Amino acid sequence: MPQRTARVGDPVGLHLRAASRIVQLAKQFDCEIHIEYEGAQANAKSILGLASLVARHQEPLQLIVEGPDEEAALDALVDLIEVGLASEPNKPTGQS
Amino acid sequence: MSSDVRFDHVVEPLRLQTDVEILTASFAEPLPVAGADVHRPGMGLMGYVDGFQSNRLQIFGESEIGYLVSLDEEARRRAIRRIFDLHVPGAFVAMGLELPAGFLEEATAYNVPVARSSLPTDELDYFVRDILADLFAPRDTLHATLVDVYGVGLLFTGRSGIGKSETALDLIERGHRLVADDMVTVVRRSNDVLVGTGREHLNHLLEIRGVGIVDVMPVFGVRGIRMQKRIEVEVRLEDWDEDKEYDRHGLDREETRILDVAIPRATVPIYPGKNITVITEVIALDFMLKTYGIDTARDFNQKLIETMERSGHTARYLKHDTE
Repeated sequence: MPQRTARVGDPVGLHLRAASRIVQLAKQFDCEIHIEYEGAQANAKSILGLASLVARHQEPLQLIVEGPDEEAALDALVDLIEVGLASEPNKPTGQS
Repeated sequence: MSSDVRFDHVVEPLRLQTDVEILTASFAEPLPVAGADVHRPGMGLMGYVDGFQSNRLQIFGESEIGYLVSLDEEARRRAIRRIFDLHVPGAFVAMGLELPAGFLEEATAYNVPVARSSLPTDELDYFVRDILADLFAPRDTLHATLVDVYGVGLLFTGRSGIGKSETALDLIERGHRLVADDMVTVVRRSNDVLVGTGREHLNHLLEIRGVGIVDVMPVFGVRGIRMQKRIEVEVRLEDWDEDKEYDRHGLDREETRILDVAIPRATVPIYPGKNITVITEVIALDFMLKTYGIDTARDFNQKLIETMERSGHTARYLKHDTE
């Protein structure tokens, strides 16, 4: 099971919109994706799960993936969490 | 703007609310009423006709009739002609006032229909304005289904066959009330209120595939129906689209515009086995909560952000707290 660490780029932390963007991206991959923080593990495809981590800015998230496209998922998610969330912290999600 | 509202269109609903007596014989079709406003012709009768709103319905109260009575017949006829000559679409007389000699002859000569009611002038004014407001209100007919769910008017939209009628049936069975299925007439009232009603002859009939036409009233009773309802939320039923991202956190509210009034819209994807009825009940309850200032997504997010800020301080404090 490949793993990698990503630091929360969003200056506020992992709030609802940030969590929603992670879910939106994670759902595009077939592999199982979990995010671990301070001993709690959340499914990256669940908004409330991610929000319940209450992860602050720059805190390390451990990404654990398993499945066919796991490496691609890691690359994309780390990029979103560290760079994407930092550059556009309040980008609306959901309705396109 | 030319309208097709005529004197008769106002008299008819007025009869339902009060006594109305038509004083002029039926003759050529009167002129159209140009606007939802009414006019008191007092100044015009006295000779000042600048800004006289001749294309509105005129209301004669005690002062107008009193003034006319005070004149000799020739002066009176001149005063009446002065305003009727401006192409008046119709006149109402309040308080059951007796008309002075010559009034009706002039009205007939100028093709101005006259009706009288026993109502006080201000009340007659109010009723006529109310009827005109309804006649002049912007309206539209939508292919949709309107149900009162816990007092919230949910307008179901979506393609034919997606299950609007079936959802309505399910909601009625759970104690909610059908306003109209398939065709909803929407009228805009007081600028930002949308009121929906059914087609007169289609009232409360549902077309259910596999059953046929179902009449809600005899099957479910009078508690299952409602004649009209304010439209508060559009519930858009859609086929499930795997590539579309549906609103999951509810922080961003989708809106729709009907007759230029913005109302919230909830898009609900449909797939087999999903209980749409319960979801729409929650949409209605959530709308009520938001009306009362409780926005769950916003409040939760706020709390989350506050917790993250606070836990930063706590963590820093605890790190150096060696007790």
